[in-house]
Amino acid sequence: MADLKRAYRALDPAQPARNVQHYVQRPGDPMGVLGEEMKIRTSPLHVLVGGQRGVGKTTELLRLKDLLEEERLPHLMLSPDRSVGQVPPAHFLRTLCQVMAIQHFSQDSALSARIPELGGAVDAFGLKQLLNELVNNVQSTTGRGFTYLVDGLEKLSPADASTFVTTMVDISCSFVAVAPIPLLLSPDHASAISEWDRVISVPAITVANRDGNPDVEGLAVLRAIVERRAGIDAFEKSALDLVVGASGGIHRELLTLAQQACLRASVAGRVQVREEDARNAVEDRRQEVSFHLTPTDLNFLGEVQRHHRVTGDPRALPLIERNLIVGYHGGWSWFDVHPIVKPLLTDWKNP
Amino acid sequence: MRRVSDEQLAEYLTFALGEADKPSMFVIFQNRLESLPWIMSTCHQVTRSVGFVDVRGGDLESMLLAEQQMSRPPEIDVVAGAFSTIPADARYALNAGRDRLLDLGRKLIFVEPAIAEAELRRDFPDIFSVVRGVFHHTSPIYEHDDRFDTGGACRLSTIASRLPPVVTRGSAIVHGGKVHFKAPSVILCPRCGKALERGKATIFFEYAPRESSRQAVDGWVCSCGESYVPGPKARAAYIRAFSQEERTDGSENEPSEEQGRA
Repeated sequence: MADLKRAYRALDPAQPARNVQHYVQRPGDPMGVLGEEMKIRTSPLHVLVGGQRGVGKTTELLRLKDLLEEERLPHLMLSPDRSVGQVPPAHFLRTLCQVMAIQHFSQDSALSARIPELGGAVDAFGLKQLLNELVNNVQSTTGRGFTYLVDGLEKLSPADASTFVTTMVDISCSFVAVAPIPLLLSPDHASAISEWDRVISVPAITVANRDGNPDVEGLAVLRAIVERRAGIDAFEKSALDLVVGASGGIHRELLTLAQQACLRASVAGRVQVREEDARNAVEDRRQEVSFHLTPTDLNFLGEVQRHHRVTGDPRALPLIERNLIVGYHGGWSWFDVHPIVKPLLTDWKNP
Repeated sequence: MRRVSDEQLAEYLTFALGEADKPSMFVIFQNRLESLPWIMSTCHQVTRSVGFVDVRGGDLESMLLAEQQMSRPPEIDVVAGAFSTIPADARYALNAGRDRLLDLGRKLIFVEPAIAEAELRRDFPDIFSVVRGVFHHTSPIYEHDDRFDTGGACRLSTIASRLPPVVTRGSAIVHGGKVHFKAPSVILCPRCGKALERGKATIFFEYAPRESSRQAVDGWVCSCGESYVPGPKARAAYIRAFSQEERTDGSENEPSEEQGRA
């Protein structure tokens, strides 16, 4: 018998999959491929990881961290948003140095003597020199390349994130950083991004192909994400299919819908989530979305639904950021309207 | 979002608060005077240890950190106005620092005015993407209704007579649990600037036979006496008015713009 209370607790959208039991490999396994490359690479690699809100970027970064740990490659993971709201480059460099100093040089008397500098008014140039020194020291000691994994960069403004991208390219170690969508899509930041070696896109997992047919592989991955957390018997098959289809392949959206369906089933005294619980959860979400759509939004979403592409239209970016337009496949190859919005478009066209 | 009774809402909230692990965040949008006492009493059904933080433009994080210094911080914190009472730059910083809030390891219920829901969802996308539940303790809300004509749902006066199951906001009407969209924006009278209303307009065709010279058709009317008829309807009225004459002399004159205007 399924334990829906346990399932509700496990389907927490705020928690990325932190363990092997919860992690489901996404099609293409981009971080697995990157991890393999980092094992054999000797020169620093600068990689930006882009994707919409909630698609699983942090989960993928944690997977890369696990792979680096397995290989005993020196690395540090940090989130700028945990330390500051807005990040001038000197402040961010100071954070990188401090984390490095605490982790690797607390026992090193020569370098420890220089750590107090970090608290003083050292400029960005001085901090960059110090960071390079610290990084080189670790790399020569361990004989392996050092990697900073930076999460949460997408919560900074595009200007702050762009400053980070420009500053970090001069540091002589590898960086894998999660980049905000406006930074990746805006031509204003193209030159800053071009300095980095690669941009890896983490798209939503495809629920339907461009022609509208169900994507079998993608749907199986999404089902597995719910089943790993909630247990395989927590949902009736039709209920799980409904939730998976309505998620648009966005990881966090899937967990939110699944936990809301669990809540409804549990309060109704059921031991398994039925289709009606899932439908109510999806319908409530749809109504939430519908209140904030303007006629302009609906008209533009109609165009995206017809053509499956997004041009440089200024209406596109806010809708992508709100996850109402979802990018599928690597390299932003095509876009679609979020499945939860599609019935609203039909209603808009035929009131 | 579907209107549920207070009892059912309390059941959902009690379950969610009781079962969610820390850290977890919930949002309740409210527009009722009794909302805050109702939320507090619902929380008390889960635990006796409920704190109340009234942010009023202050720094939420430092308030929560100060509370954390207590020997036993509350199990659940009801936080009023954390999002809606702070300025734009503070909103940006609070949204960017979402993970810092989660790192506090608390169970937080943010209570915010329902009227600010759209704006808060826009300003705090990262926080809203990880909240474990959004609840609405609201009476029906009506706003901006003067800017829209009534669409496929039904007339607003009809909707208003069935208050409980109806919510209208912006361009949407939820009626009987189904979302409809209002029709395009209202048309203003070019003479007096007031909103035109649907109604019967009378077109007078001076040269038509007397019995069919006055045609009452669906159109747009204004209290100042101005009225307008859409082209196809004016054309149909013209054909009706002259149909007898057309049979006798066979003329096929199209109505002009002037004739289309009542």
